[in-house]
Parts: sequence; structure tokens; C-alpha cells
Amino acid sequence: MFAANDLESEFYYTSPDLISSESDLEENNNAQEEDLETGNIDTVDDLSNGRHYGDYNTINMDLDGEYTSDEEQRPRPTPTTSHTFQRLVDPFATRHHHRSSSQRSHGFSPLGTRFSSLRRQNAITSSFLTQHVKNNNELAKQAISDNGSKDLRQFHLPESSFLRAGMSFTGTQNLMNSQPQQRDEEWEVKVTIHYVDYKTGTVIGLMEALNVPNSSNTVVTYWEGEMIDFVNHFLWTDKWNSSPEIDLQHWKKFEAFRHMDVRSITRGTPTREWFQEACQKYIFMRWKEHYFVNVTAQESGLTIAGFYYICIRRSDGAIEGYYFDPVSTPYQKLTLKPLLEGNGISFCDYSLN
Amino acid sequence: MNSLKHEQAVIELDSSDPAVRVKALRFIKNHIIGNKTKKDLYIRLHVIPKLVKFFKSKDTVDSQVQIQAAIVLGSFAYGGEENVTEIVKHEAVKPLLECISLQNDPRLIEAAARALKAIYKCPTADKNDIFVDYHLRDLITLLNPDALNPKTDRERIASIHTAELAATIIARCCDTNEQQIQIATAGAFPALVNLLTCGFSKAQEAALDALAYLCRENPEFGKAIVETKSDTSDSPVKIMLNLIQDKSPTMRLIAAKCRAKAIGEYSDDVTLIVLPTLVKLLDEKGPVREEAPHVLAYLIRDNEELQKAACDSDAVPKLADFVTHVVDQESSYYDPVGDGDKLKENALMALAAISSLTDDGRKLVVEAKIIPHIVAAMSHRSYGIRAAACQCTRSLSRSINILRTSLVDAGIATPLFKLLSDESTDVQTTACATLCNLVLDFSPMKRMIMELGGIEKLVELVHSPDNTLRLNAIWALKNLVYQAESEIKEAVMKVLTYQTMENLISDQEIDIQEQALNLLRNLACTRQHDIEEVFKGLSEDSLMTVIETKLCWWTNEEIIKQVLYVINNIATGNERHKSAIMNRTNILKSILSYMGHTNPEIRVVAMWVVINLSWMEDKSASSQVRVQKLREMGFEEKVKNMTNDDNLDVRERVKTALNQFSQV
Amino acid sequence: MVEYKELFVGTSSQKKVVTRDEWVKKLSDVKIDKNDLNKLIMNYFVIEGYKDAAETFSQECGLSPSIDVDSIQDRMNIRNAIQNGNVEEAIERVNDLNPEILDTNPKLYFHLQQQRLIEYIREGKIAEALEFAQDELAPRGEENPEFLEELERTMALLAFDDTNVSPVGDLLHPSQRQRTASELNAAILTSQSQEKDPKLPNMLKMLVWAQDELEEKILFPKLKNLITAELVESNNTTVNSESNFLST
Repeated sequence: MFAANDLESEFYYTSPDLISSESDLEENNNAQEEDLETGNIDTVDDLSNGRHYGDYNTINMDLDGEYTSDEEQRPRPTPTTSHTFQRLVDPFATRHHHRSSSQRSHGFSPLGTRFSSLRRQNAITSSFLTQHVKNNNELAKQAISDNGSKDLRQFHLPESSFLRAGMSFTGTQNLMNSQPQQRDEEWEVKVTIHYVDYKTGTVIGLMEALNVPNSSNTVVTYWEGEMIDFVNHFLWTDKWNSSPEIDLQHWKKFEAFRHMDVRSITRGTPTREWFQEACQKYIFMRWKEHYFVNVTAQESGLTIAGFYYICIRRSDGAIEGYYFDPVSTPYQKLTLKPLLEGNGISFCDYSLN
Repeated sequence: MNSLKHEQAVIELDSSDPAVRVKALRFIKNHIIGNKTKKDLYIRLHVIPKLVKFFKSKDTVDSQVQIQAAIVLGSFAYGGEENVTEIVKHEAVKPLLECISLQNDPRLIEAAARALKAIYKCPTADKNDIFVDYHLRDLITLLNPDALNPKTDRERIASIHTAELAATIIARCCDTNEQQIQIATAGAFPALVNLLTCGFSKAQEAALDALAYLCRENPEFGKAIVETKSDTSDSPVKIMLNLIQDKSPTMRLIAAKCRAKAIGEYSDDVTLIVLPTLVKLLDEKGPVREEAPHVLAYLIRDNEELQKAACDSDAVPKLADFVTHVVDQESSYYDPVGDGDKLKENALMALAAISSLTDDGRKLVVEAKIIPHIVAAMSHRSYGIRAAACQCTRSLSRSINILRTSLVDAGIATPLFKLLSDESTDVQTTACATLCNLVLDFSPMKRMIMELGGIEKLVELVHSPDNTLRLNAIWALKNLVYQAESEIKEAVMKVLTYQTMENLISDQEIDIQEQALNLLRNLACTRQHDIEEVFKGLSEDSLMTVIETKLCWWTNEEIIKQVLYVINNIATGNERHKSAIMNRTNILKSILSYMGHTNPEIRVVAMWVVINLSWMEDKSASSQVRVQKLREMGFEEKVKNMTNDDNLDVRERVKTALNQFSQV
Repeated sequence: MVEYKELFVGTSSQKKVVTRDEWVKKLSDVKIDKNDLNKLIMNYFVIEGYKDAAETFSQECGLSPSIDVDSIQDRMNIRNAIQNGNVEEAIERVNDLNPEILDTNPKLYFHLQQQRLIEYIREGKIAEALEFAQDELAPRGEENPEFLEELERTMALLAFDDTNVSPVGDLLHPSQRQRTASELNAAILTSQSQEKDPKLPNMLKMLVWAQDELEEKILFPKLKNLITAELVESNNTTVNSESNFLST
């Protein structure tokens, strides 16, 4: 989530008119979904003021680099308002899928020319980056025989006690402002994981923000996450307004990667052993909030247009996360620890019938 | 009605002149065939015992008389269950079985077989007589059209017809597993597979049907059928695939059904040929269209790949159509009411199957916009439709996203809850299974269900005589207390009572024990207050005894796992709670040994118990004492030896545990 | 980049025209197996019940009928019985042939009984007709309510003396007998695992349809008369062709 009061509200809120203040929880959920659906305008084209993450739209690009139209994926009602707003992307709609993961082709269309407007952080050019990413992703399909690197198709993400349904975590989310006179904004966060499937690399949970500045309630959102298991999901996001460069910038922030330079990360994935070692200590994920559960977006004063890069430490369940949203202040940090209400760690469980 | 001539005919049956008897028999035959009213009339005139007598007399009876008598008996059997009961009551079955013996006149064999087929169509008819003497062997021999040495074309065709009848009788006589075995042992498989190649569609359909029944709920036999050698060079699968692509839709359906049951080793033809054929059959009319969804549901029910393939086809929109529209229906023997009920039910089951294992499938079903119809179907007059609606909901509720959005929007909780009190146990059971998912902490419907009296109703169902229903009820309660606040946990236990839970932990059904232990685990989770409640509810002694019994005397892995979690959760409590465990040496010893269990999940929990027992957050004296005791019992040593465990999660816990040990 | 003129093909509003000679040549290039032809014809004879023709044809062309010829005779006898108004005889014969047919086809049985009633009425035997209706048809209506409507229609025959003005007069037409006979014939064929529809009429239907479809794209000499098989050219000059495949 992100506090939207710093920037123009129109760009971040979903249409507010549909919701009455007396509606109960369920209606809110529905209303949220409706809101999301009425906004099918191609987002990035509209967010043209100073947004430099390209004038392309990765949202509708499948892994072959081909654009599929929004309509093909999911029929949406016609927009009733002329709000321009960040369309929240449902991963089920943009999963470049209807193919099993084993059939999915791994590739990324060379968009070298389109990246030219991106800021360059280091000597790696965008085209080099995308070429390399493409190359490495393709390599993942073949057996590698150099330097004892393991064939990543056999890579299997081990489970962690902390990443399972029923685990709760508490901590804070920090907004680090660039202006020195504004104090850091920070609010408490509680996250509960409600569903984990190592086979599909899926996680689902709820995130609760406490003492949010503009809201009297806590604000609860529903999020779905993907595990970076190199079978279902990879380091490269390919959606949600991200790009390999953005991905790299964020992954680098984690203590797991901090000492590595970009070149070795790019070259190293997905075949190098040491990356697999990193997965021995951590599990990497992306979490995307989909809707507000107990309040409206406007009431909360928050936006959930972006997503989190997440890292959980296997040894003690500590979670580190960075929120990304092209129109938000970058690198808001999420810091969580497993919630202890007793003298130890207890585990409850459910099963779907 | 002038029944004089009919009474006259019955009297003439007693004539000593066979010609008169034959004439009377034909008279009767031509009046009763197709005519229920006349059948009833003649039965009232006590004609059946007279017919049976023709088979029992030892003197040479004209074969024509017996043939016509057999035909007449067969026709009576078409008149419904009461007629068949009459026939069986007068002991007609055994004599008819004697008639199919191979030395008899082929026309008599055919007539008797026809009669038996009609009799066995009735589900209440006793089928055991076939398995006595040589009757089964005779039947199987008759499956071969050459067995009776037909010479003319007419005889050949009659032989094939007899083979068809024999196959149908076999299909109707394998209700139980034992019967299946007996028929298979008598050599039915090769004979039936060969009949598949005879070229006459009715006989082929009968053979397919028989094979499908022979491997019903019997995958071993399915495999055996597929591996049977036929007289031609083709394998049974190839033969079936030919028939699956036949020009007659009925043949295609029956062949697809047979192949769906006799799968054996999975092979590509199932996805590439059988599945698309079934989907296309949804375009046909009448009984074919009605049954195709049922076969489709059966085919894909446990198989994710097939479900994905079904999603890629256009099955879902077609099936959705059957659910949402009142379908123009010819009346069929399958659905005499003709309201399209059976079609709707089968379509709902197929949709439930398609969405049972994958989110893709669930999404497709939701997009087909049938959820309102599913809700409506929950109050349908037909219990089959109500149950199918529940199955559909159950499949959809396995997606948390859909559960929280589409199902909530459709207001599914109230109608579903009502079905817990349905007159049909099937419906109750399926509704309860679905409810398991709706009472989870993250389900917006949980509160409503509790307000409707969910806890009370579920506890009531926990005491049901039906085991599956009981299991689903305790499962739902377990899910209900997952992550629940203390008030909810207390509310549940107030109704369920700790005594009942204790009984369930020792239930005869292991599945139920598992759920009950999981319930206990969830109760003792998270807060000290909750653990304390458990201690109050069960008393420390009972609680520990239950735990010790289960831990030390059971080997079932699921049970062990749940018990260890119970211990683990208790071990996160206060001093008293931790001591309760520490004081039980047997429990500790068990845990020590489970640390070396082959199942990594069990090793992980065992490690967590150690971690929680040696929890050093406050560095109090008591925690130091605990650590010492654990060390003395050999825990530290054991943990050290697990440093190179295969499982990563175990290794992480080992590190934490060693770290805690090292602080004392 | 595509050449301009290639783009132009297919967008012309002019249909291509095939001359008579071209067409005849194309036709003669098509190879039809004589054996297939014979099977087609045999199929027609067998299903329609022309036993003598089937037998003779079988001897002459060396093709055995798909079923035993006697059964063709059986069906012929049954069909004739109905055509002559002897429904009772037809019922007895079909019960001899296969007693299951009428027990498993309530609709067919009803139509046969209905036909019997029609015959009574046709012969003016009104008293018998009424008795028959009560004994035999009323129970059918009780057993299967979906027949009641047709039953009432049939009873309406009794209401009108002058059948020419009766709204249900069509029931007395020979075509009604034909319908009943065909329904029975089809049921017998099905029970014998035979197809109930001969292939030949379907092929002719295909031919007519195909010609219509093709005509939308090109102009060619059409077969306008299926019996004479004359090829009529698009500009209406008649052409007698030797190579047409339906010999007169």
C-alpha cells in the first residue's frame, strides 16, 4: 500500500462513487471488484506526465512478447467514468497462460529500442539486459553442463516452516521521503498468510495496516503472491509496470544480493549454484494486493497499485520487502517478524475439502 | 373389456395337443407384446405358473412350446418391476437358465436369453443363479457367434443376436466385485473383446457395455481388459478407438464410456480422442447428450491434465447452457419425466469435475455466469440436482479468490446451509463438505454461517450415523477454529464439549481421529489463554494421557503429525503448560525417537517441539532447568546428529535448537 | 510486398466460367470404383426391401447382400401387410421376427394400434372401431399420456361422416399407411444393427447442395434433371454428356 496523499488523487483511486458508507464488508469487496473492472483504459499511455517507465504496456504482453488485447483475456464492462487510474491487474487474467508451466516458452521480446528513455544506472544497457535475460531464460530449458551448474528444471524450492498457512507476521512499513523536512512516515503492519502452494508457487494472505494517518480503522487488503521458484515464476516480473531493470534494482536491495553486482546476478541466473544457495537461505516472492477488504480505497487514503518484492529468511522467518509502484516514492520498506503471542511458535492449520 | 377369449387362451394352455398349446401361446404373445394392460390381465389370470411348468416337465415337450413360452415370459418381464417379481416368485429363472445350455435348439437358446435379459434389467432381481452350475460358462461361450455352428445367413444373424443378449446379461449381472471376479475368471474378457470386432453394432454396443461394467470401480480389471489379446491383430484400445469414431453417436458414447472405465495405463488417446469425442457428443440430442456429461465427469474427475484439456475445449459453455436453459428435451427412457432434470444434473457434475483441481477450470465456470443458477438449483425438487449444485460449489470454493468474491456475491451461504438439513444424506454430506471451505477465517461468509446456527448444526452432524457426514462435520469445525479468536473457540467447545472431542480422538475411523486432533491443535494455538482453556476443558491429566497414548501407541503418520503439533502448541504456553509436557517422560522419549522419523514433516515438528521447550526468551531459571533436562535425555546430542539432515527446513530448526542449547 | 495484380485476383466480381467441354473432361477424369457403385445400389435394394432385385443383382454383380436375403423378404412381407391394411398380420410377423421390437418402442406400437383403428374406420366397421378404441387405444393413452393428443386426433375421424371435409382426413390417405410401414421397417432394421436410411438419397441431396454452393463461385454446366442427367450449360444450351455417372 502506499499513502496517496502526496500526489494527485485522481491517478490512484479507483472510482469512489459506487460505494455507500453503510455498506458492509461483503459489499465493499464487490464494489472494489467493480471498481477495478470499470477501469480498463490502457494505463501507461495515460500516465504520461513525467512517468518514464516506458510507453509500452507490459500488462498485456505474454511471454512470447506478443500483445494480447485486454478484451481477449477477460471481458470487461465499459468504463462508466472518465477517471484515469491505475488499473489493478489480476494475475489470473494476465497469467500468460492457458498453458501449463511446462509448455510455457521462456523468452522476452527484445525491446531494446523502447528502453532508450530509461535512466541508466550502470554500464549495462537495456538491450544487453533484455538479451541476456532472454538468453538465460532460454538456457534454463536446456541442460547445462558447465562448471557443475545444475539444470534448473530440476530445481525444487524447499519448504519453510514460516511460509505456511496460519503464520502471522508483524512489523512496519517505512516511507522514506527524499525531502529532509518531512518526517518518516511509518505505520504498523500485520500480515497473515492463509494459503501456500509450493507446487504452483502461490501464496495468498491478508495485510493489515494499523495507525494509518488518514483512516480511523485499520486497513486490510487481500494479496496474492508468487514464489520465485524458477518453475512457475522467475526473477523477472514481466507485468505490473515493472521491467528487468526495475526488478534488478529491487532485488539488489535485499541483504541476500547486496554484495553482488548486477552483472553477476544477470549472468548468474538462473544457472549458477550460488543463486541456488541464496534460495537455501531465503525464499523470494512478489506480493500483489488486489483489493481492500474492510474499507474503500478512498476512505483508507491508500493505493494498492504497486506490488512488493519480498524476501523471507528461512532461519527465523524475518521478512524484508520493498514496495514498487512507478508513481510512488520508491523503495518503501516492509520489515516483518513472525508474530509471537506465546513463548514459542505455534502452528494452526486448515485443509480445503 | 371382453376377456373371454383371453381366459379361453389360458385354458388352452393345458391342452394335451401341443399344436393347440402353441396356438394359444402365440395368441397370448401377440396380445401382450407392447401392451402393459394385457400383461397385467394375463398375470391376473395366473398364466405365469403354467408357463413355468412347460420347462419343468421331464417328458419331451415340443421345443416350439418352450420357445414360445420363453418369449412370452420375456415379454412379461418388460412390464415393470411387479411383473418381474411375479416371474421370479414362480421360479422361472432357473429353468430359463437351463434353456441356454448349448445342446438346445438355438432358437430356444435365443428366446430364453432374451427373457433373461429382460428379467435382469430389473435391479431387484436376484442375480446369483447365473453363478451356479455351468450357466456362466454357457453364457460366455455364447458370446462367440460361431459357438452354435450357424450355417445359413439367417442362423448367423441369430447367433450374433444371441451373443448380444449374452453380453447384455453379463453387463447386468456384475453388480458386486465378487461377481465381476467370477465373470472375469470364466473368461469373459477375450470373448467380449472379440465380440467388439463382429461388425454388428448392437452386439458391439452390448459388449462395450459389459466391459464397462466389468471394470466399474475396478482399475485392475480395466488394465486387464486393455491388455487382453484379441483374435484380430488389433489391441482392445485400438478396437475401442475405432468404435469411438463410429458414425453412430450412441456407439461413440458407449465406446467412450468403456474406454473411460478401462483406462489401465494412461495414454494419449484419452486426451486426444476420447475427451474431444465426449465434448462433441454434447451437441447430439436425446439420451446421448444426456449421458455424455456424466461420462465426461467420470473421465476427468481425478486428472489435472484432462481437466486442463477440457478447459481448452468448448465444453464449459456447452455445459453451462444445459444448466441455464430449459432444454428442449425428447422424452427418453432415462428421463421419463422429460424435464431435462437428468441432463441438468449431469451437466452440473461435469462442471464440478472440470473445476475440481485447477484454478483455470474454476475461472472458466465462474465466467460462464452460472453461479446464480447453481444457487437456484440448491432448492430443486430433484435431490440429484441439489447434490450436484453442492459439488459445483465445493469445487469453486477451493479457490480462495472465488470464495471471497463470486460465491459471496451470489449469496451462497444461506441456501447451502439449509441443505445441511436436507432429506437426502448425499446432499447433506456434499453441502457439509463445501461448508468446510466457507467457514475459514478468511471467508466473509464465516460470520453469517455462525449466526445461522452453524456451530450447533455441525455438532449435530458430528453425531450422525453416516461416517462421511461425520467426517465432513468435524472437518468443518476444525476449519472453523483455524486462526479463530478465543470467543469463537470457546463457543465451539461449549456446544461440542471436550468429552465429545476426546471420543472423536479415539473414533473407529482414522480420518475422524485425525480431524479431531487437528481441531485440538487449532484450539491450543496462538494464545496462552487458549491453551489454558484446553487444560481446563480436558483436565491436564486426561489431556496428557490422550497425547501419550496417541504418540506412543500409534504409527499412522498423519496421527503422529497432528499429535506432535498439539504438543508443540502446548509447549508455547506458560510454565505450567511446558511442565505438563516435561513431566511426562514417555512423551519426551517418543519425541526423541520421532526426531529420526523417515517423514521429514514429522522430523520438523519434533524439532519445533524441542525449540519451544527450550525457548529462552526470558532466560528464566525454569527454562534453564528444562534445557538441562532435555540435554540429559539426549536431545542435544540427537539434534547435533541431525546437522546434515536431508531436509532444509529440518536443518534450519537444528541450527536454532543448537543455538538455544548453547545458551545454557 | 506483393505484386499489384496478384492482389487483384479474387476480388473480381466476374465469376469464372467453365465450358461444357472443360466440364465433361473434368468429370471423366473422376474415377469411381464400380464396386462402390454396386454397393450403393445393393444398399438401396436391401433397405427398401426389394428382395428379388437384391438377389438378382447379387448374382449378376457378384456382391453379396449385407444381410441375409430372407430377412429382406420378412420385411417386405411386413411392409406389404401394412400397405394392404393388415396391421394385425404385420404385428404377428414382427413379433415372430423379433419380439422385443414392440416391447421396447411404445411409440411405434401406438402407431400400429392407431393404424388398426384407422382401418376399421376406413372399412366402415364403426362398432368394432369403437370397441377397439376402448380396449386397445384408451389403455395406451393411460400408459403414456404423451399419446393422448394423437389419440384424440384419430378419434376425431369418427366425428365426421364425410372424411373429405374432416380436418383429420389425412389419416385415411395411403401416405399414412406408408408412414406407419416405414416406421416399422426402420425399427426392424435398427434391431438388426442395420442402417435404416439408404445412402443413395443422401448422395443425391449432396449433389444438389454442392451444385448450389459451387454456382455461387463459378458458372458451369449443371445437372438440372436427376433422372435424365442432362448437363445444362450456364447459357442454357443443353448438352448430352456420355460421361455422367447416372445412367438412364
